[in-house]
Amino acid sequence: MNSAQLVSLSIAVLAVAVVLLGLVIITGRALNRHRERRDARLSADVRPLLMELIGGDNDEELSEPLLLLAALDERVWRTLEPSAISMLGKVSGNARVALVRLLEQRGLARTASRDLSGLGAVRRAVAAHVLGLLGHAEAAFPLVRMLSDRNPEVRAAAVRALGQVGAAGAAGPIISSMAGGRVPFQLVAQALIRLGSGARPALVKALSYDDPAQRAVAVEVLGLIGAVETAKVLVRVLAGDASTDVRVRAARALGRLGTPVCLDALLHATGPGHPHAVRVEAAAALGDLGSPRAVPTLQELLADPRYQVAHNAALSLARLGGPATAALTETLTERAGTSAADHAWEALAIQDLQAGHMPRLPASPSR
Amino acid sequence: MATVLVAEDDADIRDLIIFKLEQTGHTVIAVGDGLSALKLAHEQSPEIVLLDVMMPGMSGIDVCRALRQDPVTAGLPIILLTARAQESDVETGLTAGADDYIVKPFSPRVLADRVHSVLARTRA
Repeated sequence: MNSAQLVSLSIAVLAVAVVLLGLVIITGRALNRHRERRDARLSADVRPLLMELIGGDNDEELSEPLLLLAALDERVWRTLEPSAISMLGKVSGNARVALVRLLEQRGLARTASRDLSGLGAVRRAVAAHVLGLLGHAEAAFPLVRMLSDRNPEVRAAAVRALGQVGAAGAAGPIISSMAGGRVPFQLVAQALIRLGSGARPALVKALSYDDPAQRAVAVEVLGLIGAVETAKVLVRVLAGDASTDVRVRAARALGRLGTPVCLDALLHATGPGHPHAVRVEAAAALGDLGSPRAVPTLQELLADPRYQVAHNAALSLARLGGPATAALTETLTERAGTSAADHAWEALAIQDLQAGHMPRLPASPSR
Repeated sequence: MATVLVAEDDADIRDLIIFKLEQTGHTVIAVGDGLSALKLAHEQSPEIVLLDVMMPGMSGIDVCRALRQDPVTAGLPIILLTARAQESDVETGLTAGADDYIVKPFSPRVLADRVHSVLARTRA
């Protein structure tokens, strides 16, 4: 065979391959379309039953659709299952209870528990996600094991699921799963918030961990769940943690908790002996806390040489209103031409805008 | 009973709302986007509007604002449906003129009750 014949043969083989590939693609698409149409048809017939179940108000109304859906042929059920699972996260009350009962009866929890030890990471992550949506308490222990899964998506799904399941005992392992950045801060914080006060002992314990990220998440969550009984512990963190980031978060948490002990600690933390970032956050947290006792300190801070400290103090005064507004007005008139007056002017203008009217003040005194 | 206009892009939620409101005797007109909702609010004269906040194209808050600015629809009672993570949108929504809001995940029964009470309040 000469080279011309070889080229012709190659082109012919290539053309046949292209045609075959085209046929495979067209057939595949046609089959997919057919399958989608068939599934949509099958699902459309039983979808009203699912709505009847979720929309029912009492056990009497639920029993018939529950029986029918639980007994559905597997092929038909498969077309409805994605909607049923997705609805779990979208409804609450009786509707959710009914859905969980249906999915338990269809064996979803059993299948998901088995899939947790599956070979594919996607399968394991989906299984963790489903168990979380079901709020399946028995899944807590296997989900804790998944926190050390080799795949980051599976670890993330396990953390989320443990938060949804409400397994307070998992708070410690959830915090530990952050070590070395193996699970993102935000996910851990969200899961711990969902666990609420049940997570408090583990959070307090984490305040003494070596990893600053773990201490930071513990401080942040204690503030967000309103653990007022931990205020004194957080005051110690604000005063002396080795990490500035942790101290900043402690200031924020104390502002949220708002007890008298928090106020004293925050007033102290605005002082010049503390790191700049801590002073900035303490000035802002005093606005969150909302005590008029903070007004004299915040008014003094308006003259602070560090812009962000003075700026946050002004915003906090604007948020406090009442005597704080009077302090801003006083600073504006009595310290005219200084940076303190500028900060006061800005805060009063913001206060006006937030009240829904244009600033009534003259142009800034420094301009 | 009333004609309710529902704008919700999630087909599952939309079907559930239709089922629940029809079960309680309302007539439901449902669409999947904000623009269609705005159009139907003029064409079908609903008595109350349920708007999902997050929709493609025009958000529920945009629709709410547009309905309030039009003298024909300015008096329509409006309920917003918002995800828990978007609760900050609630303030914006109420400022835009919404009468009430429902946070997802929601109970279908609570939704029906809320529609009923907003209707009763505006009819009074």
